[in-house]
Amino acid sequence: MTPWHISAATFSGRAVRRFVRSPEAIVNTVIFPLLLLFAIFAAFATSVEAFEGDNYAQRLVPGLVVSGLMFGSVGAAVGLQKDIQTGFMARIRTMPVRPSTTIVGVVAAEVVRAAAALLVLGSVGYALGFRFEGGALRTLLIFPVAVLIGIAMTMPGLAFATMTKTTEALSAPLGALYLVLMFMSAAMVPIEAYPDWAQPIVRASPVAAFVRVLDRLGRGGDLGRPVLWAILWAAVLIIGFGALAVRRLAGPAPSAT
Amino acid sequence: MSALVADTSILARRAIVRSARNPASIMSAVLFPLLFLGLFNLVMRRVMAAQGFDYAQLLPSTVVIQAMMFAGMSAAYYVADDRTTGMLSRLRSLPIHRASPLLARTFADAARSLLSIAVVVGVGVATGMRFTAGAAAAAGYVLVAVAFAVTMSLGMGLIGLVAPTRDSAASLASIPYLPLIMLSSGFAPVDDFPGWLQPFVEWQPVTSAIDALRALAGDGDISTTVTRTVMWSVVLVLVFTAMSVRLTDRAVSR
Repeated sequence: MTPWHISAATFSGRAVRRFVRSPEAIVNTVIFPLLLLFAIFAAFATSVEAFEGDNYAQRLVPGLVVSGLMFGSVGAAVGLQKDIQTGFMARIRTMPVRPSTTIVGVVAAEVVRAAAALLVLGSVGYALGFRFEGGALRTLLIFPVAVLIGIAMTMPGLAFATMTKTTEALSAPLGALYLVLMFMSAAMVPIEAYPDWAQPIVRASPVAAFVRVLDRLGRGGDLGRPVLWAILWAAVLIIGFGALAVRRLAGPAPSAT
Repeated sequence: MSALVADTSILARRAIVRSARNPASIMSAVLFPLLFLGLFNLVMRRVMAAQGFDYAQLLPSTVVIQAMMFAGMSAAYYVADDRTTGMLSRLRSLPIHRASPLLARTFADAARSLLSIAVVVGVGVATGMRFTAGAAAAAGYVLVAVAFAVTMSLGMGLIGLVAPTRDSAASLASIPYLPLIMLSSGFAPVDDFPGWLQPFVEWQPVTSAIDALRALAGDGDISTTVTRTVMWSVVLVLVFTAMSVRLTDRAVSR
């Protein structure tokens, strides 16, 4: 059996190269959120600033970092599904490595993805008026927290990838789900702008919890409870869906049809 | 001529059956427009009401145009699929009318757009949208929307002719889609945009089509908005058709 750190490193290199070389992944993680940031800012800055009072970039940048990580994760899910459907995973099973170490590769790609999303959205956001107002420690925490959020939000897609056979059956429902989650997360407007009946739902959403913690790290303000909720949600997603994905990868071989 | 009609109807039926059997196509024609209608209402209605911008009346026309753009994005996907699987070259080798594949696709996308229009306008009317400009204007509403869908199908179909794979065609088609729909009069009034961007927002084809639909539903001047939209459509359809013919020749000769 190959030591797990060696196969993990190999799979990490593969996943990172796959991300960097895939036009779709770059479009979904970097270009699309960038266009979204610019376009939403242009359309709604006037009205939301009139409603809320603060610079709109301060709200929108954390919201779109989380959205970018969420929508970008569809690419990771499609990649895993292709690995299963093309027989790559079956091939890995015949080799002396642990199949579950492929998941480590996904995590490594997530670090690269989070860095790309933060760098690009952060610098364009800066031009639009976003500023780090939370102090040095909070600013330094943004990157590791974004990686954690990215990993957590990739897990449901990975689990779903082990259960579906075609790209369409995987990416269309995930896209619809993520669209709803993004709109229901206070990424674009403060919670007070939602209808009264929807506000408790927004408050309870995991994506809203992730947006809130990044928002507080960037803008300052009470951090304790948002961090607690974000960690709790991340743990639930990683343990719940991650375990499901790993178990299906390590379990009886899925037939490659 | 009869060959053109017969060949086109066979290929159009194929295109319609193919997308009707693809859950992702149904989702993009029906579910996604309804999601956008509901979600933008949920998130932006209060904020926009403070700007004097009535989402209940104005948003359905935006989402109709958005759904017409989805029809275009699906054209990009299916064209790339036909190209990469060799179907496009195969059609070229058959004794059928040369124009029928393009015409058939356009008809199929027009049919799909009717479904989206019915669903979005139906939900819009149920949530408070009103047509106050008469029956003729309401019929014009459908015509303008379908014409826009045809324009988008021809335009985004071009992406399908050049993209490396069908999945990348779908991703690439989202790049023109997003700025065109967001930087329009669709979700926020033109005056809310930064000053330097307002000329673009005001004159681009998506704003023009949305304003025409709103006018035909009773909000705005019909003759100026519809004239502008018809002019945009004629120009774009001519350009896109010419480019389609050239790029198809190049794609099948490879």
